Amino acid sequence: MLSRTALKISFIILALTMAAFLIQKTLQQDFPGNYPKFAAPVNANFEFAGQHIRIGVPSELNDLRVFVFAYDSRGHMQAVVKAVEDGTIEVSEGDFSDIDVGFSQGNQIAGFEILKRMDSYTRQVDMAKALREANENGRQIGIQRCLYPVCTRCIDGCRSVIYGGDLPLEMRKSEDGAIVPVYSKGKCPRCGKCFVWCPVNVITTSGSLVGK
Amino acid sequence: MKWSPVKFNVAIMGILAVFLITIVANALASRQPWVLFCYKCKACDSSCILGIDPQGFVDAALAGDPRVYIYATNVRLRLSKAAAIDPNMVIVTDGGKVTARAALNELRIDPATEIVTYQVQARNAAQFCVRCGACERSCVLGLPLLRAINQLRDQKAPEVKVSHAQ
Amino acid sequence: MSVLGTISLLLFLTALIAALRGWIPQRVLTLQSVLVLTALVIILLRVIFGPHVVWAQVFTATSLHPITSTIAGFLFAGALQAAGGFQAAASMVARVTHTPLGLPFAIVVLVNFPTIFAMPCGRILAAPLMPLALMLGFEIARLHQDKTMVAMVVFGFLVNAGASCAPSLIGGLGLLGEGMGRFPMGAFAKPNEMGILAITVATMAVIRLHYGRSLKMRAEDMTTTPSGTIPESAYLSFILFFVVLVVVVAIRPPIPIQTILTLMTVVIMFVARLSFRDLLGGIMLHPLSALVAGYIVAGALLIAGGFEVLQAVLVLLAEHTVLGYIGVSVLIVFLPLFLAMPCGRIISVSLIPGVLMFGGRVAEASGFALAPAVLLSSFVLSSAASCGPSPLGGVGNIGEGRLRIRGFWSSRPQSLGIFLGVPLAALLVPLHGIQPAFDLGFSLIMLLIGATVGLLTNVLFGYRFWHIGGIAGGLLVGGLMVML
Repeated sequence: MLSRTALKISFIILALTMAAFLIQKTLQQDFPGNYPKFAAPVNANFEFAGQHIRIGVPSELNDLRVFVFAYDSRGHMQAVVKAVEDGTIEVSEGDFSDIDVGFSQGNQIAGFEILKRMDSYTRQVDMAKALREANENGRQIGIQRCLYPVCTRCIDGCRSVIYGGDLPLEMRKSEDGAIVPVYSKGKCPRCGKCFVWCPVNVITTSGSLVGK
Repeated sequence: MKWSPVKFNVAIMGILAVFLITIVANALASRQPWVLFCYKCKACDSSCILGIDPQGFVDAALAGDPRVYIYATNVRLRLSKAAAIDPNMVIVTDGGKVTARAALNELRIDPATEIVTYQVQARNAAQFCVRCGACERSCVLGLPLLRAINQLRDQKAPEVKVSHAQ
Repeated sequence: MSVLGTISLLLFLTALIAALRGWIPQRVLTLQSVLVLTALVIILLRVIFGPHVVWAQVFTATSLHPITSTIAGFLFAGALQAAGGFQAAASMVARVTHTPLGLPFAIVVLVNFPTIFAMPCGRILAAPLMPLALMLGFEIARLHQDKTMVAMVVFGFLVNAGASCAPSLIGGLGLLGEGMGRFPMGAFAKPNEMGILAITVATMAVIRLHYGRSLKMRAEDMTTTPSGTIPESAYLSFILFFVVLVVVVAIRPPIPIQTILTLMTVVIMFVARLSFRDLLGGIMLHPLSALVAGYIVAGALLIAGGFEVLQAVLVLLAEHTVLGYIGVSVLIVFLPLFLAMPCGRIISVSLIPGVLMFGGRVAEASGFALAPAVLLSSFVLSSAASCGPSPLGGVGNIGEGRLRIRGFWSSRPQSLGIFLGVPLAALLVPLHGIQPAFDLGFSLIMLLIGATVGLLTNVLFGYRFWHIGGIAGGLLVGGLMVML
């Protein structure tokens, strides 16, 4: 026969587990069933002056952190995370790239590497220099509001409802060099996770069930 | 009262027990009991673009204080703003690691200079965080770190707005 | 470099040495009391002389994980013991020892078992497998009429367990180094596993060759001779333990290992009809309380700036002495041994930024790009292993308690073993590279190291070096490390 104490302990463990589960359980998140809407590309005005590069951006980006990017000779994107203050971003010599993004055929992202570890860099790529070189050699430079590939919240949300690899939402390099979300309306189940989870408001709700 | 080593040592054991109980109570009081399971392996650390140590948010919950200092080694902001948020924030300058206050008052660095942080309070790190969820994805236990970050963000905000606007 | 930090560090070191050397008798003040009092004095000094501080920072040095791992491990060991699991294991081991493989095979596999199934804290396997280590130790000691062999097996096993959190991919200390250093996850695992093999055999060797002479053991012979019929539930318990270990290491489920261990304990309680009282037999309070006291004093040092002073001293030494950055790098790798904390995480978190900085400087000076990786992986291994010899509730304390030998006796042989074994891991990092992927050449090296460890174990335990048991055991250990 099962010992009484063992039974008691089991019940206690079960009760504790359930209590922990209930404490942790937050209310079910409510996802609005609309189609997503995507933010327009950022219009940035680059001024190359002396050691500094001043970049004018729309004031709606104030207080946000965005990627300032430049493509290198290998076709890799070098990007630094910068805060927007008073509608401007300043990149100076000594601002090193935070991330190196590689692309495969078809402008898809092949992989990325975060270049800073603690207070040193695995590889130092001076962003001011990279921006100047890219500008002089006709390679793309710009501002990317979406934090992909570091942030994959929208893709994670999409993947949580779509089984298999055929997602309605994917990330691609756009013509101006920024990585942007692209979606196929026909495949979208309108779960709303992409815009609820997007932390930078690049994807918002269209407020429409038919995708205006 | 006569000195008794045994009683004294037992009292010390009591302090140890209280210390442990406080940690557990803090975790429960912060409504993040899952922090008790954190391995503190820092697998999450390598994924943050802002160099924030997400395990620091776990520490804040265990310590029951959002003001504990945690690593945030890649947040760029103006020195004046850093000093306004927390003058004791540790930043990196050419001369090494100093507090924002020392950078302004002793090293006389221009307040408009953009600096890079090194150690900041957990509540400020939560405000800097872009909430990309990379830390959650790299956690070997899949701990809901964003939950702790959001909770810290929702607490009384520092005087100066530094957040990733939402 | 703050005066307060310097005083705090000196105070801590003095108190520690005083307690360990017996200048403060244990019967008057236990180690735990000395540590807590030191912490209180440091905190008091901080209150009086220091600037603004966030007091809760004291808690941030604490890692609950090793504490809960120890408790879960002890409870599980208690369940396994009461269910007769060890009798079942003893009978299985006895069957192996009666084959031509003999005791050397069993010893090589057992002492390296914690690293094969590397858990995020060595205590998880140290506690439940300790009776097996004792059994094998006493068995071989009786055979060779040499009590030193008990200590060889027990402390070989314990230093292996202590260091095993370095290569663990389920939340071990190695991930801490890889995370903070932004190296790929598991980059240092294989070289560190080989380093641990070397540490284990080196620890056993130094006990045999030197420290065994000072061994005064009061424990009785703990050979478990399987008597009568062993119930089916006993075999079931042990097999369940083994199967769950394999599954956990192979699939790495996102569930804390303590939860898994506790659930297994509950299952064994049901299967073997045990009471809660049965579980408590294996609990040892000393390692647990010393662990917590260690965390408190580490927290006090943290707020007083003791670790910053330590780093500043290292930089001073590197810049102003003949040691230079390369010399101090060697020093920094073994620093966790001089300041052996109950969990390597305490010192790692504080010193890894410095290790990375030193690695960068060495790379610049030598042109050797992998210098940061080599330095960091060696530091991580030394740091993880340091909880073996730590007198502050380290894994070694479990062995000292069970064997009833003088406290901290095992610190020196374990430290020397670590000192000898870490360089092997450092040498292997460039061969392995920092991208964890299957490499046939490196796998062969691992098998070769496994076989060598087997050969050396044969010799250390008085067998001919070509004894098949040691070699087969070493090859099996190496092979499992390649696969898992």
